[in-house]
Amino acid sequence: MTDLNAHKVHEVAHHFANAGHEFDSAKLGMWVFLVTEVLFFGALFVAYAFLRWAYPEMFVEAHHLLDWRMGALNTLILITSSFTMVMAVRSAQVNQRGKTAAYLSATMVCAFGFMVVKFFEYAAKIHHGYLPAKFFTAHAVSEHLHLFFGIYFMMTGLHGIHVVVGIGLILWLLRRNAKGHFYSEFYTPLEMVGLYWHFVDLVWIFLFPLFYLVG
Amino acid sequence: MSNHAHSEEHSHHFIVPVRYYVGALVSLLILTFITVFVAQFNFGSFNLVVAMAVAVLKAGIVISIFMGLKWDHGFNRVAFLGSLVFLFIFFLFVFSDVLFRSYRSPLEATQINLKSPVIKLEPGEVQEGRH
Repeated sequence: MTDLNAHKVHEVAHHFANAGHEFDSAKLGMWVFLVTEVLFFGALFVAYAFLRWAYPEMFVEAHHLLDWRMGALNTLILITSSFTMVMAVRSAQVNQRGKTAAYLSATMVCAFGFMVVKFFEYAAKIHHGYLPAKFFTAHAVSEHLHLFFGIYFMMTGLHGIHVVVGIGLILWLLRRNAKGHFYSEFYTPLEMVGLYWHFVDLVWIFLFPLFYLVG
Repeated sequence: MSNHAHSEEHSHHFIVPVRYYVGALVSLLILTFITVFVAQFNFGSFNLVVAMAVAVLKAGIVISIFMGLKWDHGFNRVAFLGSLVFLFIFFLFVFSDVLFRSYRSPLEATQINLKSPVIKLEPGEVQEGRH
């Protein structure tokens, strides 16, 4: 390869009138997917609200068992990663392929950082026996404490799975970017994964205060 | 290289100035600091109000700037914000049930008989993993 800035010209699929039509259709599809995600996580937020309403003193006890510094660190990591993600998309819009790669890599480093923090948190909970339902083996004041760890592992676990999926998607983007697939006239996959990644950030923005701060 | 005709249609794409993204990042970091700071004090139920107000503000910044809904088509805005309306209805119906329910099944104490796996903390015993 002699010209590093050479890119593969995007062919618009035959069922679209033009590139703008194709991009807008993809974006509407992505927003509709995010609507289903809102309702998917929404059910768990409703469950959280119910448990909190039913056992308020148990939530105060449980809140002291989570380390808010870990949660705050992960909040900073995810916010930074949202910024690097949006900059990766913008770099493609202005034909800076190298910068897109750099920002995508930074986003992935953040995603791994998030999972490492999560690993240490989960390891401590598992070590102490703070687990959902019948797996709970710890000593506690409230006889309902296992319910907290049920909702905690469900919500942060589902969110964590989304982060792992995000890592996979970013790897795919890095590969396509290296092949020169993205440029000012075509960056649809970058934009869509970006929307997904910001949604993952959005969920954490609510999970952090609800689990780590409000006791 | 055959078809360059579509590039005109694509030109409506608005490239967001970097200052919006930097501004959003800085605002989100400041709001995170505020929410953590306020949580160090006990204002009772006011803590939940502050934490949720800050979270909603942060969510608004992420949705409008990072997700670009501020510059997006109105239809996408309606689709996404519509999901929040339906989420609210979900909350409304669940809580209109649980808040006003007085009946408990007598089976709960007999046939269902759920046992808690929690071991009671002895007086003077220190709970593991407290922060």
